[in-house]
Amino acid sequence: MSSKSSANEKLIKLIENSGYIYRNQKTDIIIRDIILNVLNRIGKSYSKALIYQICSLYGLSQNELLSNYELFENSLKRVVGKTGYPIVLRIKKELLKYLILNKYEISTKDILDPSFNVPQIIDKLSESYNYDLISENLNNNKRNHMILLSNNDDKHIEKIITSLVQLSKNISDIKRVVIVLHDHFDKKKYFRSVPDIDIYYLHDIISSPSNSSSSSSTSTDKFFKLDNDSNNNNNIDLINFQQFDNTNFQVFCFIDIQILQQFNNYKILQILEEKFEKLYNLNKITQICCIYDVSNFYTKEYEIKLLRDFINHHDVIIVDEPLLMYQKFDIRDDILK
Amino acid sequence: MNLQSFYTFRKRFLFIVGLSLLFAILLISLSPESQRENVGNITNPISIIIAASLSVLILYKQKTDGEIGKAFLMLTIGLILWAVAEILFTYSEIITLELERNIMLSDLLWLLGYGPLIYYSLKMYMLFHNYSSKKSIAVIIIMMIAYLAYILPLILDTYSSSSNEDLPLLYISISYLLLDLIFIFPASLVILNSGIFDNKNQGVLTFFPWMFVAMIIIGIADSIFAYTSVSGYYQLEWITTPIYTSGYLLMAFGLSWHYKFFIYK
Repeated sequence: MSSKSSANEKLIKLIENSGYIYRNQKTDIIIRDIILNVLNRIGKSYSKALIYQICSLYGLSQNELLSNYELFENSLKRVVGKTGYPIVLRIKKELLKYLILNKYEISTKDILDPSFNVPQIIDKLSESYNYDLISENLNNNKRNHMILLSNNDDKHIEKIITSLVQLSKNISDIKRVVIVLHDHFDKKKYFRSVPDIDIYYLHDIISSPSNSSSSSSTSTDKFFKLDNDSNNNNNIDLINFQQFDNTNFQVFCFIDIQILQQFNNYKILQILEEKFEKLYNLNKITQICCIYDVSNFYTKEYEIKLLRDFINHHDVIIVDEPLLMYQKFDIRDDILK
Repeated sequence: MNLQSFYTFRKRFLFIVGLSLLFAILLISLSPESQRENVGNITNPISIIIAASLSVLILYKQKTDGEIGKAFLMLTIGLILWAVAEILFTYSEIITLELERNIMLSDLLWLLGYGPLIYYSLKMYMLFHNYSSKKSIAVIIIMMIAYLAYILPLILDTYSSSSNEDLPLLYISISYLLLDLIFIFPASLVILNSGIFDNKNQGVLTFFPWMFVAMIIIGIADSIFAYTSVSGYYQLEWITTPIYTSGYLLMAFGLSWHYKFFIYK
């Protein structure tokens, strides 16, 4: 658990260093309001004094203290010791009340569980808000090139893919394509309700390139044009992308980064991403959703530069555990906003 | 104030507390025997006036909003009642030279003062310390019962064997003990919970539960006072004065700590 979270921290650092920003500040605002509300109910002067003392003793700004709950709880316990427990309990009670009143998914078992702590409740709240943010982004933008950095946690992937597919169901002339380089891909799980979808398995092409050109799979032939010399990745000419010209399309890519590493074939992914990027502005509805399995990012040090390069092709990054959404920082957009 | 300068301040503060308590105790104890009780009867009102004044100042700055505001309003009322009671008592002891202990207006004020002070201690317990284990609650209750089982028969026996036949005085003395126990109960739990015996759970700003330790000290003084009043050993009454003064001074220091760190200026 701790190694996973530290690896996630590494991943998040990588994303943030690549020029993406976390847009969801609603959770932070709610937490800050609840903390201030609980403290003000004890006493306004007490509340101000306590925050002032914590900040001055530990050299924090009020914003830093109140926008990071764990920092707040730890500082509170250091400054007022056990006296801070009832305050934490009140914050927990208020958060639960907020979740219930706003009809967020929370079980009675969780409510009654004393070990269900404030950071867990915040994760739940944050997850719900991030879903809202992702849905809002999917609804508002007809062109999307997103990457889902997954840890094999299918819950989030399934939900996001389902939303994407549902959104496109009313569009008649839409082409749906799935590119798979993953051992555990299950079509039924994600695309049960989708009748017209083409699936291409990259795995076969990478593992036996010499066979691929003579392969009988017509769909693959139609999709990829590979040089005989597979070792020379520079000569790989991926797919006939002309089939997407003037067509609305949805592409889902299921990629296990470890498999790519095994075949030392990152280039294929790079080319694929570059092609997607070119297609991005051609059509009215372009939805490209790349699902990268980075669960092994935790155990092995992947070539971070490569991962950063792949990430950089996307305008939206979604990380699961905890579910977070990052958007490319665009100075013009951000100044206009 | 950063952490380092805070610790320096805390050391100095504790030094001043220790020095003040020592000075008050020595001032009373080292006075000539005939003057000891009088000196004590002067230090008592002075120390509680300091505490009550600080409480008023806190109330003025903090206002009465929020749960802590109401708790401090009650504390201020209680301390003012006790301060007036102490002044009246000193007046009767030093100016009107009443040698025998009788029920006075000061007793009424003291008893009235218990109400707001009990409210304060219960409120503070509920606000910041309401996480006592059943075991610690049970231990405190057993200790209180044991204390009552010891002190009540002792006072009753002393009363029946003494020449003092003032029955209302006996009732008043017992009421003090019982009311003390009501605020000693949350005070003991607060002290147990405060981390005073456990460095790990000690807060930087809440390392010492000043008010509650003071309440226990005042409770001890009340027990001795009740015994001396009922028994008629008035010459021993001076013993209670350094204890009361220490309790009131601790309250004053606790309030000044609260003023320094928990009031936004």
